[in-house]
Amino acid sequence: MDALPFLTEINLNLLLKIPVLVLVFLYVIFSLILFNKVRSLGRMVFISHINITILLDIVAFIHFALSVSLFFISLVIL
Amino acid sequence: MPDIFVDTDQNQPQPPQPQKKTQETAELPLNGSLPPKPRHRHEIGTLEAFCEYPKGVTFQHQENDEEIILFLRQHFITNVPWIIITILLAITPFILIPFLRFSSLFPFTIPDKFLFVSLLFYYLIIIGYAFVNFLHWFYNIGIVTNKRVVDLDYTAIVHVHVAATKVLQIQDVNYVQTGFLRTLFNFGDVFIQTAGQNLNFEFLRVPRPSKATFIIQKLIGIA
Repeated sequence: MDALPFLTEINLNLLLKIPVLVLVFLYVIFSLILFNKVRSLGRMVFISHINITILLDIVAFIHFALSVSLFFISLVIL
Repeated sequence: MPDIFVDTDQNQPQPPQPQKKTQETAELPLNGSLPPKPRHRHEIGTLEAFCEYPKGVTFQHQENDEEIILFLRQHFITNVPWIIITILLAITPFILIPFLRFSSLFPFTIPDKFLFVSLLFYYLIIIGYAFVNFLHWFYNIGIVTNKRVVDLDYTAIVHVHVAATKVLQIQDVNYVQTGFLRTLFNFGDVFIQTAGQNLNFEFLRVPRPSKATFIIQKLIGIA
């Protein structure tokens, strides 16, 4: 701590919080784009028997929901 | 004096005219023939990369009388690099975090709550990475029907390229299979050359390229 005196606890928290929140927010946008893309691709080619396209839709939605949850978790915890 | 115009009787029955089959409605060229259908068409598997006459597969803008003859994807072995990278990335924090905690590389310690959020974010990114790579493999599809060849390329998150050409416009089909892994696992690149200004089609790293090439050649009547 002596080597970097400006990094007090409050400064360090702020320095870490803002980039983490920005990154997670960008990731939420990315996961939303991915979710929409999976839905549109599922309409292009449909494999009926195994319902893999529906499964991929669900995975993409869970991925999006997790990223949104992470954003709110980091907003509360940090 | 010769008649210039003779009105035909509207009520007189006309002989039936044979329907001319235009090039647009013709399904195959004269020499072309469909490969023999298997006795039992099987359902396509989740991870199947080569399927003749797949059952239960449809694609956008498929016509009613259009039948899928060949369904192609990249060989599953091509997924191995990203699977290994995902596993390595997943186990990295278990090695890196204890190492950084007990070493004095950083002049300060990262608070636990930041470490927790960062770790969650890191694993979410790994899940996203694996998912995107799987989608790239899953939606890079080549479809050969009795009427046309469709190539669906999903190469980036926001880039999807769909190309199609009629079977009649295909001029040549060939394949390249070089390298140890390709020979061992029997996969290679199939190239379809089309007439004129149209795009050429490439089905890269597909299994059994010789058979795929033979099927398309048979379809266009050069085999």
